[in-house]
Amino acid sequence: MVHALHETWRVTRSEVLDIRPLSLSPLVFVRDRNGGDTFCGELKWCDDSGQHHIQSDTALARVIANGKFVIAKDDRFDWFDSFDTADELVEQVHDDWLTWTVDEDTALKLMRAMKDSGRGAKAFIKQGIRVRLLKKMNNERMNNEQ
Amino acid sequence: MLPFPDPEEIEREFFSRFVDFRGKRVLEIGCGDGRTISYYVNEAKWIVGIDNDRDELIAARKEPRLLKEDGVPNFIQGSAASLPFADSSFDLTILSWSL
Repeated sequence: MVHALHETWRVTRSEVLDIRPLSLSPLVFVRDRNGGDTFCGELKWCDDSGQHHIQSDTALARVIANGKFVIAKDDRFDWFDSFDTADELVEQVHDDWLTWTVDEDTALKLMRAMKDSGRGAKAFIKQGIRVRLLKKMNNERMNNEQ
Repeated sequence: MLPFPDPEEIEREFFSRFVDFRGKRVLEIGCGDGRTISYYVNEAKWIVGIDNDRDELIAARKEPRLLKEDGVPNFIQGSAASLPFADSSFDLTILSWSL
């Protein structure tokens, strides 16, 4: 991963835009038709991808500490995926999210909240996304650190 | 009910708020089917997308939103660990959900 960042530094003249989900778990809610939200739980890692996220953060921190990049802008936003039913949410996570799973406890709370919220309720997942603009620094130290 | 914000609209807004793409040579690592390239395809000077997934790249090459007046972005199958480009080939590199 550090090597990929070195390669990115090498081919870039001035800027790098890094956009990716935060390592925090995506959150599962139900929103009723009046806009009230009920928290049902978190998605859980289904493999070692959580470790991958931590390694990405560590690798980026390392190349910044070594003077290859400085952070010029840093912000985040929430990504919402909404579903008409609890089953749709669970199926979508199973089929498309790959590294995440809905555990039994969260699935049960989700189904109960959908039932309690009545007609027009929506299940949704909220995931934090981080966006950073990195400015390339021409520091030759990085050529010697690999 | 409060409407859910369109996440791709928010993402597009972040792209344009963070970077001025006009006239830039852009490399997008982890470009997938080119979803985020569509945000700046009409502003950048030229674009190269790289991804490991061959099927995603085939989809990107067929994506109508990625057509430019002077052609389409170049798509290459490969890995960020070994980028087949000379030093400082790009003004901007995007790590698109890929680090």
